[in-house]
Amino acid sequence: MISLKNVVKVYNPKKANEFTALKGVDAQIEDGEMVAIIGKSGAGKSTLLHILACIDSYEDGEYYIDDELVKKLSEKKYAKIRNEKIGIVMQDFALVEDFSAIENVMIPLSFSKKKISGKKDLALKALDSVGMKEYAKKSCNKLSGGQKQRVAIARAIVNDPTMILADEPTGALDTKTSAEIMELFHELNERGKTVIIVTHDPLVAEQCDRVIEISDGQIVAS
Amino acid sequence: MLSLGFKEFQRRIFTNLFVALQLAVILVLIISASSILFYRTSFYSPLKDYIEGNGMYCQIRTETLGAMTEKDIKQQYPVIESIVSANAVDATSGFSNMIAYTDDTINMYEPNMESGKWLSECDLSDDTVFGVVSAKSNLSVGDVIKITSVRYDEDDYEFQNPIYEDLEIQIVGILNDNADVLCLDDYFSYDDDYRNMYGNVEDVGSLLIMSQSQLDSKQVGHSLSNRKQLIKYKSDASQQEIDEMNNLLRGLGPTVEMKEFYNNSQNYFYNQMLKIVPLLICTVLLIIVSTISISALTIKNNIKLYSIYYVCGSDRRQCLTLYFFNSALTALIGLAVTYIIMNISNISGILGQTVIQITNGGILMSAVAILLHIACSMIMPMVLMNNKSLRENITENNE
Repeated sequence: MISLKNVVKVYNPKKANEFTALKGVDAQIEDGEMVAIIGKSGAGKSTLLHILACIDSYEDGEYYIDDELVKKLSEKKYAKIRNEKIGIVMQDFALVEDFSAIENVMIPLSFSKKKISGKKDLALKALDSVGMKEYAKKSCNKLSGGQKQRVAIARAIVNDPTMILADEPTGALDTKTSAEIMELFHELNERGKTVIIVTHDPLVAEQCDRVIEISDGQIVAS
Repeated sequence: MLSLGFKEFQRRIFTNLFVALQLAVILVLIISASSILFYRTSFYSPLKDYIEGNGMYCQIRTETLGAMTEKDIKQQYPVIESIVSANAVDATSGFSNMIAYTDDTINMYEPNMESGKWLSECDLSDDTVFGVVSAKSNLSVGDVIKITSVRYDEDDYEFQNPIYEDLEIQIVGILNDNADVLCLDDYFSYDDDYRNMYGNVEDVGSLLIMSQSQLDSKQVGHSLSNRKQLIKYKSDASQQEIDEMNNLLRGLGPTVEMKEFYNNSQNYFYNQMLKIVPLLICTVLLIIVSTISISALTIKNNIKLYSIYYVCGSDRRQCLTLYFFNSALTALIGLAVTYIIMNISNISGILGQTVIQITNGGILMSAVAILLHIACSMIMPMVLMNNKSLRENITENNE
């Protein structure tokens, strides 16, 4: 379960260009939920996602993952959470273009703090689960947008995280491919993963169990 | 994680090889520039104490002084603290030149060796007499040669009955063909500077250099020759003592007061520096521009990679380890290319005609350049990455 209590995020604190991106956000996301975070540009949704993904810190409030407070931890600890508990999918796929699909999927395994045996098999299994096993050895720069996003999703799930965070996952894809990718997120959600998607697209938001709307750094609908 | 490092290195193999080549060019430039500087200072430094103190640059004529050693002169003229000179050895041999240095002079300056070692690295208290020869002598390290010393009984006042004694000399080193050796030539000019205290081995015939102290232990005679000398007075010598000594030396041969000799040396040194400085400035600028361009080449890609790895659960330490691995591997290839270039130049004889050689200073400066390269390619992406959001770092640095 994810819980946010009065989370405040300030960029450039105590400087002339100080900007409060999140103004006391309260939210709770249960295990196995599929949630969309929507809002206009600059509303604070990406900031919220980055905090949820342990990529960014916050100034005030509390953020819990499975009752564990995620605040002012060591960098190593944040990296461990990102590696083991969270799978992140980005709009631009964030793949190493010259690596093959399987090499990309194996990246999180390389940074794992746990000793993992059979890394290749795990990566192949992840690729298989997104229908990309046959493209395992293909270089990512030779894949289509939809295929790249599938590889990115395989990379996000290879460490078997409890939560998938997606930042505009269909933003760079056409309607048909977007539908396929959303189908994939549904499958992951049905397998018990918590899925949180930041999106502009109302069609994407509609497909989620719940929509959290954020405006001017505050949650206005949940 | 290292396999990821290797993959990353392979992924950008051409860029990495280009960077390595660029680094090799920088290293060759550094070695060349430091050699030019080192060459100028390597002749001045050994004589610094003499040139910057009170004393005289002179060429004492043996016919005016008689057969005297440095020790005899210092005993006779207490104002003299030390002398740099090469004594002639009272012996016959197949060498066209046979000289002996004091232990101080041996330790003061080591000429370029082709093989073996210089006398300063030998135990001069050993019973075996050691010698260093020029390459022209066609001898090898380890060879034992004989010289025949000539001496006279103390009672033989008129030197009528020479006593010949063979002495074995073990060759411990062979001088480089173009080695410069202290007090070798006998051409004296009043415009001379510190460089003229050295003579090139190539300009003389075969040469044998030995230690005076070892010859003394074997009772082989030696005395001041007609070569040039640098005489240093004691620091507490009075002006009157100095003047008297100067006058005395002027009567023994051509002389130049040390202040004038110092000025000549400084003039030459600064004139040379004025010629070298523009070259050095260009080299330093090239190093800076190259380091920045090398870093710029890698940074663009590295920022995106750092960001992707970060998203995938790496921490900064792991990213730094990966990039240290990559930068170090690139630097290693650069070093190997430099080594190959320098070796080919050396073997082909190109370096032999120049003052370029791998010196400690060159190695130190190269190490600094390598560390700078590694630090830049590791730290700059980290700093730049922190200035932008993760999304910007990933999307704006697409290859």
